[in-house]
Amino acid sequence: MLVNYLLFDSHEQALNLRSLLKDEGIRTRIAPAPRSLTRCCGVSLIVAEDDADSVRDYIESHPGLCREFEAAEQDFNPNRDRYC
Amino acid sequence: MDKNHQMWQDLGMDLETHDQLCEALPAAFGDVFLTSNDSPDTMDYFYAVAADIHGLRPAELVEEQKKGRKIFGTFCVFVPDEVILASDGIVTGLCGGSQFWVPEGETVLPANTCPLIKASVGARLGRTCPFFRIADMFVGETTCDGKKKAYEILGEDVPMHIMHLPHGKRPQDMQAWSDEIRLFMDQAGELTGKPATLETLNDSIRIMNEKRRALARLYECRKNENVPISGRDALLIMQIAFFDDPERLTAQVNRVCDELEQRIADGKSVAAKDAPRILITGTPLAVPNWKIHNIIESSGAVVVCEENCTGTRYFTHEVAEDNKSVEEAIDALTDRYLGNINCACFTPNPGRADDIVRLAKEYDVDGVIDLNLKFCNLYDTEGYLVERRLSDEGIPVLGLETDYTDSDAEQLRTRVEAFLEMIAD
Ligand code: SF4
Ligand code: SF4
Repeated sequence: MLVNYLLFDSHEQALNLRSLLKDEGIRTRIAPAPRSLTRCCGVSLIVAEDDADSVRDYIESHPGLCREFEAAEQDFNPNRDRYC
Repeated sequence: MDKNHQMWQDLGMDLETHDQLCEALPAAFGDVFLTSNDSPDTMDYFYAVAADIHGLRPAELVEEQKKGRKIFGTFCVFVPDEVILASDGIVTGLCGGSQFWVPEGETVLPANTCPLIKASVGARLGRTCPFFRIADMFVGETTCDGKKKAYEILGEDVPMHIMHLPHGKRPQDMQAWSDEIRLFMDQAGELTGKPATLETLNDSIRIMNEKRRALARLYECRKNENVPISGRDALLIMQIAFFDDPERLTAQVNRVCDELEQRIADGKSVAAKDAPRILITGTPLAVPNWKIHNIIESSGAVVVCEENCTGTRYFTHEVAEDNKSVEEAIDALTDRYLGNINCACFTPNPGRADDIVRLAKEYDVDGVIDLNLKFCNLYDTEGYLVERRLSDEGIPVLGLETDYTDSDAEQLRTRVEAFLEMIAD
């Protein structure tokens, strides 16, 4: 499944955008950025597919709030039993 | 090179091997924490710390070191954080909870050593954990045999102070522990150049008590019939409590508790009405050991309490405040630590079974899982007494042994599911 990730330069930036989006009624989840996308900071925000367009609009009209908005293949499964 | 990699390189880490660990985190974290939608919003802070676990807090510690502060790495809840804080030091818990570090540990330790010890030694020797690189001094303790010997090996690689923990709670043991605290206080003051004073001791006691109160408040919320937070989220908070700045941690835990108390008032639960409530007892669950919580909670039950060192043993009982002399402060620390923590390294240790029975009632649990790390002789042996006592009290109990590998997960699931079925009847 493709998962949408917002990527950041710092965790403060991530928490900040999370709360701004929350004010817009958009819920995000904090997650470690997948290595296939990661640049600088390990903290990313996952955006639900239904919200992806609104988030794209929001970050385009408010530049500088994140580094990138990308998708990566991820399949979360609580029964997978692959721990780290 | 990005900031994290630059810091890891400066710390002399093995970047290539460490990248493999970073690679595994996103999926493992996602499986455990992102597959349910009922996490409190205020978990955001803890998720961020976990998401950048080898970047965020290590970078702060490095900054503090640049200002001349010293970092003390600890392995056991008997080492009093107050002594370190009062000497202007910073505490970071070092227990390793990942299989990733185990093979490196096995190059110097017998394979039949508990995984927590193997992972801790492997993280240092393999240069794959920034916390193990940053600490200026490791503080060990004479609890179990495996740790005692492992500290001798670690001590060849890093400055080490050992606190000699008595294995009883008699008056002479209390005296011996207060002497050990005094010795450690001297040692910490020597390293930081800022020896503890009555004032700094009383301040650090207050800071740590506030942290304990916040964690106790979190656990109090878990007693409610509507469980406002999953065991997985609560465990993550506890694990982060071992290495985060204590005052910030307290504020963040209280923020979570505000939300949980609101959830309780609204009658909101993360678990189904009939979900079995489970208490876990046994050996510590060092970060990122999330296996058993995930197995239990993805099997339809909810973990409401942990009687272990990443649970109630870490925060119960406060240290007396406003002491009038350094001696009085040391006595207060001795009372709280030696007098009140019931670890299997004591003989006898009847207080632990009493605690489990009391907690089982307070948290209204349907069953207890006695979870022990493989090759932990102390907890494995004490398990006999604990499980017998629980049976006598009519509390269903399942004894499990595990390590950090994934290979026993299926078998654990089968046993947990059978236990849950049994207690549902
Ligand atoms: S289980 Fe015992 S030895 Fe291990 S951290 Fe807890 S008190 Fe220390
Ligand atoms: S789990 Fe047991 S063997 Fe391992 S460090 Fe703790 S007391 Fe020692």
